[in-house]
Amino acid sequence: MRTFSFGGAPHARGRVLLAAALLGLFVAGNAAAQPPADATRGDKMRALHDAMSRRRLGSQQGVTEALPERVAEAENLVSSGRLDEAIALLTATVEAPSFDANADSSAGRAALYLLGHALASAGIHDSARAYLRKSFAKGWGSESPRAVRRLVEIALERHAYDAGLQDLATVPASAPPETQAEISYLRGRARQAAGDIDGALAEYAKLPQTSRFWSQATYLSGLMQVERGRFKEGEALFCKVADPNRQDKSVPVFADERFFAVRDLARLALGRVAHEQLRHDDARYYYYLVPRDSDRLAEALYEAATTRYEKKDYIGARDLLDELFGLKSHHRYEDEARILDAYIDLALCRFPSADKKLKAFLTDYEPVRDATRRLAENERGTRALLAAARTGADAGGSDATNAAVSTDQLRAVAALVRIDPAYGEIAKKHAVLDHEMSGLKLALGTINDMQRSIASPQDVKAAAVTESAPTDKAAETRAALDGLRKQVDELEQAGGNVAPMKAELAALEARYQAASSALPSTAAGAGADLPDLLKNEAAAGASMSQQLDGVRTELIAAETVLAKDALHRLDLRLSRLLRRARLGRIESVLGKKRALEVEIEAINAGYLPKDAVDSLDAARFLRDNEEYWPFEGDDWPDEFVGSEGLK
Amino acid sequence: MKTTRIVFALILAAVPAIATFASAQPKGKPSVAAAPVEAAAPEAAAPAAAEAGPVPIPESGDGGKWSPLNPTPEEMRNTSLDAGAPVDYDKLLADVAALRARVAAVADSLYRSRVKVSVQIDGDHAKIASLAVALDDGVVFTAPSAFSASDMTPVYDHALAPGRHAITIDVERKDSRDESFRTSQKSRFIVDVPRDNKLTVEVKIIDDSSMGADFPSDQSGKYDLRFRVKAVAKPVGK
Repeated sequence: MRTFSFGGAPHARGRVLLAAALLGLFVAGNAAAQPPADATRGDKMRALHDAMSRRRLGSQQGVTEALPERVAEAENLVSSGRLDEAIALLTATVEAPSFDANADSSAGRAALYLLGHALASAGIHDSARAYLRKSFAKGWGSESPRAVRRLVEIALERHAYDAGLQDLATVPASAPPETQAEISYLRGRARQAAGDIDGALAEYAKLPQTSRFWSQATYLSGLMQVERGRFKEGEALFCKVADPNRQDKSVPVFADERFFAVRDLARLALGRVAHEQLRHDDARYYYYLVPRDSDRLAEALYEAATTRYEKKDYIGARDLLDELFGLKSHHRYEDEARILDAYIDLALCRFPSADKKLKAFLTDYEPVRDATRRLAENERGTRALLAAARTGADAGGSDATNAAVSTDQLRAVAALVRIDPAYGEIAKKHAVLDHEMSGLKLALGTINDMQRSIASPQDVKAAAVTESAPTDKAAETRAALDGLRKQVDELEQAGGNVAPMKAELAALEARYQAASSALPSTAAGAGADLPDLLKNEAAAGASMSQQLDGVRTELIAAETVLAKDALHRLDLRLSRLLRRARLGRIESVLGKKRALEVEIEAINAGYLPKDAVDSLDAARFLRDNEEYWPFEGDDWPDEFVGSEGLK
Repeated sequence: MKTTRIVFALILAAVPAIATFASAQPKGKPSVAAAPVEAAAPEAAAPAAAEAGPVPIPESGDGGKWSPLNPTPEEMRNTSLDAGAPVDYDKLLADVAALRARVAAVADSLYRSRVKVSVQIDGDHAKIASLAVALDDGVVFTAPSAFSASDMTPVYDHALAPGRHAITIDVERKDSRDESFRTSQKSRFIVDVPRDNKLTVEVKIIDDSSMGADFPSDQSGKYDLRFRVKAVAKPVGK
């Protein structure tokens, strides 16, 4: 039984297992960390509002008058990507004492939705969910469906389906059909993650074709059917999505980028089902349906070439590979396509050509495989390389250069490595964390300024700008440590005894980590006045900064595990292909030998081999400035040539 | 003895011939799909297959056999790896974001001095791979994907303490003609925000690089990425 793999998306069952694992983590997380009483964390903002109004700070104008204006301003900020400013503006607005009176108005609900949306876009899901829930908790309005959509998106992004369904528990049964479809899709994903295939299929079947998730639900249903061996049912479902007649004019709701991505996946899935059943001609047709502008074209061409090769249609396979090479773009099947190319030559008895290709493959990829192994030993290098591969940045210019690997080899590894979707999720979380850490640093500096301003109002900030930025010093230290690591790696490869140096390097790394995370401790304030509250905020910020360091370390560890796994899989793949290349070279030698034997047998039987016939061709013996006009069969027997009748 | 010799000779003659055919035509069905993309390990698929019973025999298969070039199960993604975020990740981020929002709100009420940072990207073929703007080493703006600013575009506008502050611009650009040609630059500028003034900082990122256009054909090109910063302070309300 072969297992299936459908597109860049993980294997369906694998996805189920991963989702279940993630779900387990989130459930465990929810159980371990008790959620705060107020999930919006608005109580501290309200305390600050009170303290500021006691000091007559800020606008004394009520929220009611300025609410529509602030919502419009926040909308502009969100649309231009200034999420931090939008979050600050909306938090101050919705946590103002007079906002409660407006919470149920259209503008109030819009403000709550926008705040939730901005927080979710910034990756702050916990607070985002709380504000989005709040936007329709007291009553259902015309703005509420978009809050439901956003909550569904958050649940899907976090793979936290059950938590998402809990968020949507208060959605009334009278909600519009599109909203019900969103909930059905989320329920289907939850059932699928829990292993309840029939339940998931039933939920997915509820989605009307007008739902934005219809194509995903149909595709996932097909995957589940195929996973349990019901190929016909699966194929029928894939066909619904992959139908070439389904165009944006007939079904306008599908005409977005996501639909076309899922449609291409469905076509690949159809090809793979046909391939699995050895229906090579059907598979060829399905792969052919993947359009030229699709990101999946290289995948479709490579797999189509494989089906033709398996059907012994070597010329067809060669045509498809030529098309693949003609794309002139880098893709993740470059190594495999080169081996298949050589094997097609072997199958066509073009032994010298096959041997040449296989020799070139060994020359090109053996150093890449070795570089992969060396990189896997360097955690920072591995992470930097995968980050570059994921974002499309130049691997040669990344931190991975601190490993003892040439930049060309780094680029080759980055081009070939297949990144786990989970790695992308972790990397995204890491980026959000780094952004918040950086923002927290600014916030702590601002608190410091505010404390000084309150203590001496006429004081002017003389920023610590005369010295270089602390981050620069940290970067210099980091670069020095990286250089040292590279030298130790090189010494190790040269066979030197580097154990003491490695121990010293590890000690230096530990000192660097400790120094970069050290922060002065701050005492908390006791009163409810502004200076006390700011003191509390400073203490909380310092504590959060240390916690962020801990979480960051854990994220880096998870990232490293996934990055190493990706490199290990690349090592296995390249090793297999290199073995296959060596076997292919043996076959080419055997093939040449057999061809000579056939030639000898033919000569013995009185047939001249083709090479010998070709050697009699007059054109082969001409110089560059000579021209040969062969006899083309145009004979004039009645023409006098001067020798007729002579005896 | 003679029989032994005959048997040995027969074996000697037969083995190379069998070996030749065997290596040229590998037998056996590989255990994974031809598709060399992420897939679960067969251990993961096995229970499902067992539950579903035997694999149906193809009804209309048109011959052939699976390629020996197919990947092995070990090359597929390992779904048992722990890929989850730390359990208090979401809670901690929410706490930090709430604190930042509170601090920004108080600063807005406390100070009349403001800074407004605007960015303009100048260059026909300049595309932004990443752009971050930091104030006093804390990032205040990260460009969303497909960010463009052909005109002066505000990226940050907020109240802050009067005095000296550091604005850092960190940009990575790529050439629209060939995205593999990239260059990045990070610059830190010190500005002075007078009391009760609004300081407008205009950052022009000028890109006259020609690597993407010239180097692939001529083996000659240049990178030319510059910042031009203009700061103007005006009393608030004017």
